[in-house]
Amino acid sequence: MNIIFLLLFFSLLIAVVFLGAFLWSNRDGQFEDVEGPAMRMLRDEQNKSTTNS
Amino acid sequence: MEKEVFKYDNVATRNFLVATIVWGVIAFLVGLIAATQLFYPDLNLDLPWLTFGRLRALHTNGAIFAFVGNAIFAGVYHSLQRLLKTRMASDLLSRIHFWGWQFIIISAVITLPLGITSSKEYAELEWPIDIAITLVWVVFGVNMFWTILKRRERHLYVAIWFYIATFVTVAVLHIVNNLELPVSMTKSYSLFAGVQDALVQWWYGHNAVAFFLTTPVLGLMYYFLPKAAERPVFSYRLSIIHFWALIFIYIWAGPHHLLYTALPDWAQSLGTVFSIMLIFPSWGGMINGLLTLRGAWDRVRDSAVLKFFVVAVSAYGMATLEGPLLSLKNLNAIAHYTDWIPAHVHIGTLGWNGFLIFGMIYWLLPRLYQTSLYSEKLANWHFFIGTLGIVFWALPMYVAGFTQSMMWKQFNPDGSLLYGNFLETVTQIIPMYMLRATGGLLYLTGAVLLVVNVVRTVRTGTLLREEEASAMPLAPRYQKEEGEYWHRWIERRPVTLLIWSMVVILIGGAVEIIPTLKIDSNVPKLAAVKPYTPLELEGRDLYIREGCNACHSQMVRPFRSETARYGEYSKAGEFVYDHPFLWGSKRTGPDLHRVGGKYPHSWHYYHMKDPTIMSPGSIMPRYPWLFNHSVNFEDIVPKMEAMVTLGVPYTEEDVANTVATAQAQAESIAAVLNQDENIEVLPEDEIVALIAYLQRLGTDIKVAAN
Amino acid sequence: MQKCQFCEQPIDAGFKITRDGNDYCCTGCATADAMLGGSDQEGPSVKLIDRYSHLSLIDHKEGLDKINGNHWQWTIQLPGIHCTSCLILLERMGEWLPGVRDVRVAFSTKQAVVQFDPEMISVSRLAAWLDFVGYPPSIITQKKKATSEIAELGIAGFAMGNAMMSAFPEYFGLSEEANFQLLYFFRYSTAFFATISLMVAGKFYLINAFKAVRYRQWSLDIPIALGMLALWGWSAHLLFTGQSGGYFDSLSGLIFFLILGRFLQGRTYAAFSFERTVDDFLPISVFSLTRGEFVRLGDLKEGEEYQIPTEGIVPVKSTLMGKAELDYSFITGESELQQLDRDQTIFAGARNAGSTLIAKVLQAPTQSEVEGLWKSKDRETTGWVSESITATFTISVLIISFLATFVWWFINPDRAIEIGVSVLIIACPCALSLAAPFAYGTASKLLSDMGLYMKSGLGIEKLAAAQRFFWDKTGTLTERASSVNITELSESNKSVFRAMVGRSSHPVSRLLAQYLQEGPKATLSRWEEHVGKGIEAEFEGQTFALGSAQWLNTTGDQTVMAIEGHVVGGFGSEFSYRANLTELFQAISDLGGEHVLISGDHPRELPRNWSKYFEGKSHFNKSPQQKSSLVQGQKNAVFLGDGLNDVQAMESADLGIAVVENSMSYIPKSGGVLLANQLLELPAMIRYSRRVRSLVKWAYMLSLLYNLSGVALALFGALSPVVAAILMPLSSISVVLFVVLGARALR
Repeated sequence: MNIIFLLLFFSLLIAVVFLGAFLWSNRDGQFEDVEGPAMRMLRDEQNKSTTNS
Repeated sequence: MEKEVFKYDNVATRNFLVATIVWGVIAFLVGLIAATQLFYPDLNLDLPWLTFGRLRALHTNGAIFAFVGNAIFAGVYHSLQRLLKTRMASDLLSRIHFWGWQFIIISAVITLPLGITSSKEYAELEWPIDIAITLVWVVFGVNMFWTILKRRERHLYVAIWFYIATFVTVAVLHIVNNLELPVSMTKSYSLFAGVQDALVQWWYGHNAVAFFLTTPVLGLMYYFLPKAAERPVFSYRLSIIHFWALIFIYIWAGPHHLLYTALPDWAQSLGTVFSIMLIFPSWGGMINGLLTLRGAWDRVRDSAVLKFFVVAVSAYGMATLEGPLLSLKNLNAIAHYTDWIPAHVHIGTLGWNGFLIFGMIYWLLPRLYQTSLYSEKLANWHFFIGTLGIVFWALPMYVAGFTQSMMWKQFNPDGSLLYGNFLETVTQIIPMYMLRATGGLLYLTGAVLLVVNVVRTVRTGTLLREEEASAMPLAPRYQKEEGEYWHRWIERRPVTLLIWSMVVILIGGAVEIIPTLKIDSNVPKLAAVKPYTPLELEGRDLYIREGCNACHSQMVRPFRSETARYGEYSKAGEFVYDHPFLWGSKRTGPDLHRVGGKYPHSWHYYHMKDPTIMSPGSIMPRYPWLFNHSVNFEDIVPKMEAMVTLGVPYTEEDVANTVATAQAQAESIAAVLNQDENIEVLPEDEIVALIAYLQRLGTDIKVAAN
Repeated sequence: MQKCQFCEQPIDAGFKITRDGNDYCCTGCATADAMLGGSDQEGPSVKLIDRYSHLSLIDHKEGLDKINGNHWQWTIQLPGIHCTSCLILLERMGEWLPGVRDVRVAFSTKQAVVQFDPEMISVSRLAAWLDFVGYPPSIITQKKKATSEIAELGIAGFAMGNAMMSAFPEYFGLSEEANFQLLYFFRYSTAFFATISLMVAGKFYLINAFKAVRYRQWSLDIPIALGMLALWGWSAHLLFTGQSGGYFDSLSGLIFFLILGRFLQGRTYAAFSFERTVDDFLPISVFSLTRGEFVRLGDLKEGEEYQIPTEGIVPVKSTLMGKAELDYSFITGESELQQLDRDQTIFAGARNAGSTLIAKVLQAPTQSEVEGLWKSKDRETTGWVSESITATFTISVLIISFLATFVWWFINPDRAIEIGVSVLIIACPCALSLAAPFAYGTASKLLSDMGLYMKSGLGIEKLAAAQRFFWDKTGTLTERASSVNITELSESNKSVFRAMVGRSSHPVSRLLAQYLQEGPKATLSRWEEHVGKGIEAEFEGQTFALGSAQWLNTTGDQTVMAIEGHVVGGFGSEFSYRANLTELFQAISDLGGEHVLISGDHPRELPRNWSKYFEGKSHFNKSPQQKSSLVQGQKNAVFLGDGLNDVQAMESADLGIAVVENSMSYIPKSGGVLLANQLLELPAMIRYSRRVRSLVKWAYMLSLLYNLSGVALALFGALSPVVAAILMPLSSISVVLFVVLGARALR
């Protein structure tokens, strides 16, 4: 069942890519604020209204 | 600081949205036709490209890649720009992406009914289209990451993480599962055979569901649900945990699709364990979605969009609970191969994907066209009819699946099967098939209401092609210098070390493993198992062309009820020359792995001509064209050569004598038909090759026993 | 429930703000509505409070980073942040305030990072603007962020998942016969992931254990580290000799749970800064009249003359150069304002309750008594489990392990080492060390819902043990209540008073301005402020006065409004006891608590029915040091106070709890913060913490039971990798579930 090695290889590859992404986002400060982004994303409608006025 | 003024591109979003609606209606219609054929087979008008085996692939591909796919792109192109406060990086890439994707869908619409298929579920498209998909996917990725690079918002909202996961994972899955050796422009063979091919396929199949139908749609949920509800997601912290936990667990759950198959036990159990673990992050996501609406249920009553979202998220919860439960061996033993599985799948697709997409369309479209929805009432009608459709679709199928599975397992006191004739278990559930088609009709009706609503809405408004927006430029990131002592550097080492060592190990591993794949020493070889003869190989390709595996499995599970019905259970070693594997995933008809030698040639001849002659009441279509199309034996030669490349032990002599061998076998079958029943056939007729293949199926072991 | 006009979220009763007849949930929303909603009566030309001029000298210590010449970045705490609109308003400041490049709010920590151009806007002006829109900045000394903890948790989780993935096949029947290569591949992968986990995440325990041994202390880290090392070493032995895959999967699971426990334990309420220092309290700099510029506190010389603005804090012992009104409540607890004259000495920590005053430095600021107020022994918090228990535990484990090896040496020498090592492995007190953090972590979350924010879970244990309750009077048992009487004022007269208070920065004026509400302001022909007395103004030939009753020769309200000598209204503000305190005292007494009252005030009569609680146990006129020494050495003492003057006492007590009016107010260093309106819930909180404490004891028993049964298995040589892989996570998970669910159920 050498195919299992192949699947493990690709699964682990994906896992390592995401581990890297996780560590990057932690170091980049993506997890510093775990409430603000949810509110910030609601915001663009108001943005439009100011440009119109 | 001056705000930067820029424009969002709404054209790409609109285009994908229109494509979503158009393909959605077509996919639903094809599904409805296929569903109707299951109780009214004559609906195919005896046209090859309208038969169930070919339409099923068209329906699944259409629903997944055309309907959901376009909707994902529409949602991504809309939300990505706004979440990152920037325009999509390249209009050209957006256009290439859009038209490329439509081109792929059109290619699928043409090739699948023509029987050009690789037979792997959700990956049926042949190799040139696979390459096109890869290219378009790369275009999408470049466009997305480029946009991320030029963003004006530092934080990547959780939806974007779901999009990124989708891109990365689907890219890998698509490439691995479509490793195939082309024979001609329209034909290729999977690099892997039998058990190995099955494992790759279901690793892909499972993860395609995970990363094409789940993660991107979760991304859409995390964007459009808070937007429509006008309140932040219940817990952003939970959404982050939801994402990372899902990503790290999902990838391992694939083997649960192969329970009780010839896959090693430990791999099956591994799949089960990880599937059960999936419940936690999935339900975390569902709860997060539903709780976002806490305190806003009055709004849900008034808004069709939120109603769609509520049902979608609930369906996600149901499907993600049912999935892991189905991966438990004892439940799987009942549900697998029955209509239970389509019911489970359609809770996910009709409920979760469909309703989330409908909600998104109703919310997004009026905004793109700077108007309000033509009729909220009509949207509510769509919601009610659609919900009813889902209920009518799924409930009868649960009943059908359970009923049929129980019937398969009923024994008489004397030890014989109570329903020895498979057909009895089919005719029993035909009323359920009718109800299911009604459900499909209702769902389609809902979608038609959507089309009406959309057309009317579009007419009252004008498309805001370029939406002006402004945002502050991304502030530079300032990192403090202090504290950056040598020990910080050393602390980082293990992490860097970890990642690099894993990359090195993985690459080293791949280099060593890939060459050994074709000649697998570890699948127990059975001395009696021999490669197919040229004619059987050709017959097998016809089996693939007609999509027989859509309704017939080739995998007898080690249960008494199955060995009593079909014969000896299937062994891993029997499939070593099956490029691709044809285990199937659904038994609308009986298993065929031991069909070889069970009936005379003439039975198959009559049965393929009109199944009701041999089995009155059968819902299998007629295949009249097999009797007037002929096989060109010369065409088998390159196929033999391809098989040799893939490691099938044909000798040079075998390959050189391909035409003669095939001719001889065909003539002998034609002679037997003539002798037994006075049937006149040409040895070149396709039916002869198909009979050759069917009569060979699963016989190697019998030969050995004799 | 009322909804906010701007953000449409329900209004928290404590936060309601009314402006122009609309209700808002916070100043942010009110201002955002005015600024962005088009009602442009307030352009950026509004009058700003000049309270922040002392900030012009801040440096990176206070969060200011100079990126380059015209690009600075300032990280500040804005305790006022509490809703979506706050975020919107602040992050869009750059759109209407010239010089601001970017504002980035971290909602969880209530911090903002402001990037600005110092040539266009000064730090002081920026701070004043932030104050104006409703977010008075609180200067904080920068703390290290614990990003590495999240990374470690992520890696430990990743390693555990993958170690499990590669260990399971063997449990599920993958054997050497079935697939030799694959089996060994999986075994080595498991070892690889566990080793990474140990190196990256587990090293914390190894280092701590090493330190503990070096300083000859018993800490639970020692048996944990011992277990980890034994686990790794023995597994490596089994792996390399080809006997089995070892216990690597258990090891990675163990490390993950430990790290998770530590992570949750370390989580605290980011919105409250428990680790205040004196620097957060004193001004960064003052305006020196001698030099004509702002001077950092440390650079002040003796004899130098400087200004203290309204509401400013006196930074050093000084001599007054004019009349002044000072509030010493923070230092002494005395609630009466003090009227002082020229040449009198003022002390650091006093708050200027009048207009800007001028003072002369008496003593260089290093010997400031504020510093003394704060000075505290840095008490090292001990672990959860007491040292004696840890010592007994560790020693017993070592002895059992040794004895087992010894005995087995005679039974079967081949297995002696294995048995000894497996005792060490299975006795690893993982579950034991997780019980308290998870229980108190959960309890702390639930207590915060009730209005008590604990700095750490250890505080809950202290609260459960509390026997003696020391109450500070002013601000803790009392609250400031304002009474205002302006009903007789006509609209036109109101407009005159509005104009009068509008030009004054005196705290009373500002308070009165709120009661007068917004509206037209009259144009005054004369306006005069008499320091320490009041304001006099002329409008259409009439003399309007606003000031102390004494000054205006009347009695009654503290502050009187008069027209031509006739009293037309009044305004008073005084401390009164909170409601239902008797019930509170009784409830705590019923729980076995004893009460002591300590006040910095002059002796005052206590309500009669309190005598049974405070008979002979009320202390007045106590300085902060005296308060502290009263509490010092008392067993199971809790001190509840509110001000700077209580900091020392809070530190001396086993547990100090700050009682605050709302979560935005200034919070002194303490072990917990209790919202004043939830004061009456304190008995319920105590009862709850007691229940949680006994829950933890049960959890200890449970985990010891696991350890004992594990050790028993090990002694008989029955501890296979499968048993360990089941028993170790099972014990951790079941103990964690037990305490988490238990703590919730007990609520």
